[in-house]
Amino acid sequence: MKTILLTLLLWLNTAGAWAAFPDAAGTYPFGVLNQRSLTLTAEYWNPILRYVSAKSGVPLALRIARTANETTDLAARDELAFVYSNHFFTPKRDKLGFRVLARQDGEGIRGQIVVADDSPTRTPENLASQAVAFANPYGMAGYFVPMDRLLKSGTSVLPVFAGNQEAAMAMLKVGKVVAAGVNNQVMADFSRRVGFRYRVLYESEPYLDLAVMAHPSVPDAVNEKIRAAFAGMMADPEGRTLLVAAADMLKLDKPRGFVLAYDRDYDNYRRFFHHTQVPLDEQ
Amino acid sequence: MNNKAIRMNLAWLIRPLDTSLRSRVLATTMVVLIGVFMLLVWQTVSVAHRDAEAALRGHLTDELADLNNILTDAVIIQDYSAIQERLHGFAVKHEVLEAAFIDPQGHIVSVRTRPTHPDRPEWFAQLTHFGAQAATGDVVIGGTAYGQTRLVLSPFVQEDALWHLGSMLAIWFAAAPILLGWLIHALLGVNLKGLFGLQRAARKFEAGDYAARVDFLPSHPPELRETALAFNHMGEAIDTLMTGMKEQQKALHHAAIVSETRLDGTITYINDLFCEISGYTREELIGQNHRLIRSSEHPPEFFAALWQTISEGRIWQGEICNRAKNGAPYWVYTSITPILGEDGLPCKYLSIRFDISALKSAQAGLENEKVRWETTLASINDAVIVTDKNQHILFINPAAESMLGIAREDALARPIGQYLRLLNTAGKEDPNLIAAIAPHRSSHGSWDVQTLSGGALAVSYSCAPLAGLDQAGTIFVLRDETEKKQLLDNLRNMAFHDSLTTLPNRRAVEGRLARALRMTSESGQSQAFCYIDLDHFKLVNDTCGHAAGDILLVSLSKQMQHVLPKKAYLGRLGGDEFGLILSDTSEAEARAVCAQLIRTIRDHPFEHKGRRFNLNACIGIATMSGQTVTIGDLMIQADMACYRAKAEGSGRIKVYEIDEIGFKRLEKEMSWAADFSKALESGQFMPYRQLIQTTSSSEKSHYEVLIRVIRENGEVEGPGSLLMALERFSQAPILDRWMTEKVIEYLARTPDEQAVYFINLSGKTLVDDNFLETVYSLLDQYQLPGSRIGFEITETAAVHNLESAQHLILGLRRRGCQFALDDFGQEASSFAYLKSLPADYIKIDGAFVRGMANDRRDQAIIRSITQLAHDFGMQTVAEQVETGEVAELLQAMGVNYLQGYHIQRPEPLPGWVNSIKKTDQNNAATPEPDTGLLVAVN
Repeated sequence: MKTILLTLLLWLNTAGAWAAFPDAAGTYPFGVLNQRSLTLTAEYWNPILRYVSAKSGVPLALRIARTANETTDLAARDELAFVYSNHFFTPKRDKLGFRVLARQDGEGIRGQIVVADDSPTRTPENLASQAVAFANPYGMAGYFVPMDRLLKSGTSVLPVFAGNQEAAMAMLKVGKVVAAGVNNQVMADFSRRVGFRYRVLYESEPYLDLAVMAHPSVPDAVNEKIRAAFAGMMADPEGRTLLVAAADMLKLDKPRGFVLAYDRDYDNYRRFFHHTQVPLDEQ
Repeated sequence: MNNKAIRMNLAWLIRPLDTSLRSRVLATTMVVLIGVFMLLVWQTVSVAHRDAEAALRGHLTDELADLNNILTDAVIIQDYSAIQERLHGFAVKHEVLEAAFIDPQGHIVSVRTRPTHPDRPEWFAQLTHFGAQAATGDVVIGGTAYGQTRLVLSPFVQEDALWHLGSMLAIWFAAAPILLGWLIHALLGVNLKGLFGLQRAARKFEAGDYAARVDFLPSHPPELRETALAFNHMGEAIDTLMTGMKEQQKALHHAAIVSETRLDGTITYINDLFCEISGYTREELIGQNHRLIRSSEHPPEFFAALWQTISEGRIWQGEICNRAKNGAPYWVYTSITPILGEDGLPCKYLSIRFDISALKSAQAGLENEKVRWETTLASINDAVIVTDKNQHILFINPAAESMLGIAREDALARPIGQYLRLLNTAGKEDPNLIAAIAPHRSSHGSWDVQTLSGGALAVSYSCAPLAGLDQAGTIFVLRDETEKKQLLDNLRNMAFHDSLTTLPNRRAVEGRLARALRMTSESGQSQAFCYIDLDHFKLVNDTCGHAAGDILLVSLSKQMQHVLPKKAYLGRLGGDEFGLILSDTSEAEARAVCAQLIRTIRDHPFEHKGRRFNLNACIGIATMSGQTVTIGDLMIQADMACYRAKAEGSGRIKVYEIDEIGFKRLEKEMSWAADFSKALESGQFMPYRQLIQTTSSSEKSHYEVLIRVIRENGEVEGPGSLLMALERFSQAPILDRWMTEKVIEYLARTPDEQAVYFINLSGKTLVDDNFLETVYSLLDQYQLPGSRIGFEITETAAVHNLESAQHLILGLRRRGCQFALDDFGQEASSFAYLKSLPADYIKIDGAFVRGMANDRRDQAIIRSITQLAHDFGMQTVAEQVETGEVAELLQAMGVNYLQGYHIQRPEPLPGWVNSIKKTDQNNAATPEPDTGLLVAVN
């Protein structure tokens, strides 16, 4: 009996420590890692979240902070019920317990070190002491992977953090930096949309794209609804229409749907973070 | 109110405006300019006001969109501090009165500013009514509403812009009329100078100076130059007109009699021509009434009508006969024009007359001439029709009325084609024929005309154009040739048709043959000509008379035509001979047609007085197949073929074949016949005699005269088939006459000769009506008794020409001549004819005599003939007695005379002198008597 009471008190304490979802407004905050501008991110995700809300019956509300780091901090502060991110596989954040529900269909992302097509730079080693743009110091493909490559080859560069991926690419485009560490997909999309020609100096192994993850306090039933809504979006004419419109807005070559995903699918992330030489600023 | 009063009132009304043109233009221009400028200012400000309002609204919308964009990021991350900061920055930068954001929960973040002081006065703001412009917009990102923005703009910018624009326009529009007014004033002063020159020239024109013109300079405005130029042109036109009018007046007075009278007819003016023609002086006429020159030609009603017309103000025109001072009448064509006064009524009369006395005289002469011509045309028998250029009838004489069966009153002015209805070759009325007559060219010919009564006329016509001032028309002269044409048609028909059978005659057949030969030559078409000769037709003629023969020919012709194919052309060549042309027919087809024809003839029934006659025919066919032959050749070929057919028997058909031996022989004989006359003249014939020895001592012997031919090589031959050829080609009578003359001549030289010389006569000679007269004439000429000569005729010739033979025998017997019936026994019917032929001798045919020694049947026939002859009172002669045994048998049978080689071979006539020298030198006079070439005639 004493044991039962202690367990109940511990559960209540634990439950009290976690944020209660839905929030006061009756919605489940859904955070999106800042990969593009705030407006573009909102224009892309708002229709998708309305659809998933309607299909799943779980009211989602987009929640973004000014930077990716701040968005990750929101999640870390338990203010987000769901998050679309790959920042939660570092040793410390992995312990937060976010669970993978789904991911965007695709071969995965790769970290790249790119330069402008007409740049004289030919190898990553040529970047020594050069300014290299990154989205932020937390991005997997856009920072950790390319920086890990540089550090392991002993190449010391001057990192410039632009706030998000496209901002870093924009800096490369206007010549403020000689190279950029980027997510290969975002880079390709950016190049297609703005007509920027670039050259890849390094490319990593593929890592699955960002995952839709649920806060550990969100009930499984809710998670399953969310997972099913995301996974069935491409097959549903209404969902497909939304995805096509979203792809057109970003000038993607084809619409990207969502597929079911699980925690084990992101084990290579975890392995990377255990062996990287890049300092991890985990809070 | 009358017109004058109206004009005065109008002048009074326009008196206040009686100012100079320059002032009028200037005042009007200024009024218009000011009005226009005011409207322009008002319109411009109104447009600018609307534009400013629209710009303000558009600016507000744009500003609201900008504000939304600025706030988007802050709204997404719900950073109200950033929202406040950005609203403030926007409001200050864009000088808005208020910028605010309201989140979905109704929280308001607002910023207000104070605008700068405007330039425009307050009353202008009241006038424009712009006021502050506010707008609210939703902040929607990706379809999700994040709240609303509100913006309030100040109108000061638009109000100031409008104020500045209005001020500037007011200044410019106030200055513009003043400037334009001054310019117009100056321009009018310069450009109206030319009008004064125009005014001066017009005054001169008014004064009668038609040479006055306006001087103008190139610097004058175009309108003024054009006006001056038009004035000058008008002046030149009036000047020319006035000059022309003077010339016309001069011409008028030269050509016309002109006078003016008062309303009562009193003369007030006359020209010189009036005096000249009337014979009165001007003084004698002025003041006199116009009745002075009136003649008695016109009745009072004429002048009453004239006065009625002119007193009503209308022009009178007509011809009047006046009387000159010397009493002579003269005709004038008069036009009297009433001259009207201001009240519209006549105040005097103007008369213009033209002397037409000569014209009237010519008209009278022409009328007389017309009457004469019409009388002439009415009296001739030819129809005369005169038409105008449209072929409408102008004149038609009685003969034409009679010929066409129409009345003159109906025909006049009607198209000639309506009455002169011409027929084409098909006998159908064809309006194109009369329409084809060229009215400008003479022509003549003949027409077939259909009269209104439906009758047809054959007319000869001549038509000729009538030249005249009005391109008059055409004169048609028609003559009725109907009877003449019918006569000619009959003559033509008679010329080419057989009057008895109505078949084409020999001439027509020859014409058709010529055409057939042409066609064969040109196209190679195979054709045939058939020569048809009826058998036994003569029997009908002789026994039933020519009338019956004619009936038979007519019915037979119709029957033959009936069975012939359409392409056959049958004609009668003469007597009982017909010609048949078969077009596009092969030899086999021709044979088939001829065979059918023969069957038709054979089957044609003919009975006369209970006697039935069966005719037959032989047909010779000559084909045409491209070889060049003449009509004569073709007819001869068919004739020869027919001859050959006849030779083979009755009802035969023979086709001429050029290489066939029989035809070659026949041609040779024909050649003989053709050369016979020439041979006779050149002495190639000579008479022979052969003794006819009596078997009784009480009778004296006789001779038969034979003909021999002396060939070119001097040989003497018998006539062979020459006699048949001569018979066939009707030349035998010539030889008979020659022989008769030679024998008579011989006997006349030998008066002691006791024997009777028998001369052979051909069948043709029997029917020669002149032969009897010839013998008479020779006997008379040589004073020879007829008893010294005799004639032999074959029974065949006698039977075929029985009537003629009877006539000849009787005629010659009257002069004592004797007759022998030759070759008796050849035909079984001979006995029947013995009754009709009063012969003295019967010469038994040699065919019975030659073999009688061994043939008892011949002996029986000879015995019978002898007995029969004796019964008829005739004596018998046996021919071809060649042995003594035969001679003895004949004598025992009672035959009276013997003739043959056993008795005597033929010998030349004693004393005969041949005209051929060669013959004289050789053996003509004494031919070898035993030569086998000597053949007894017949």
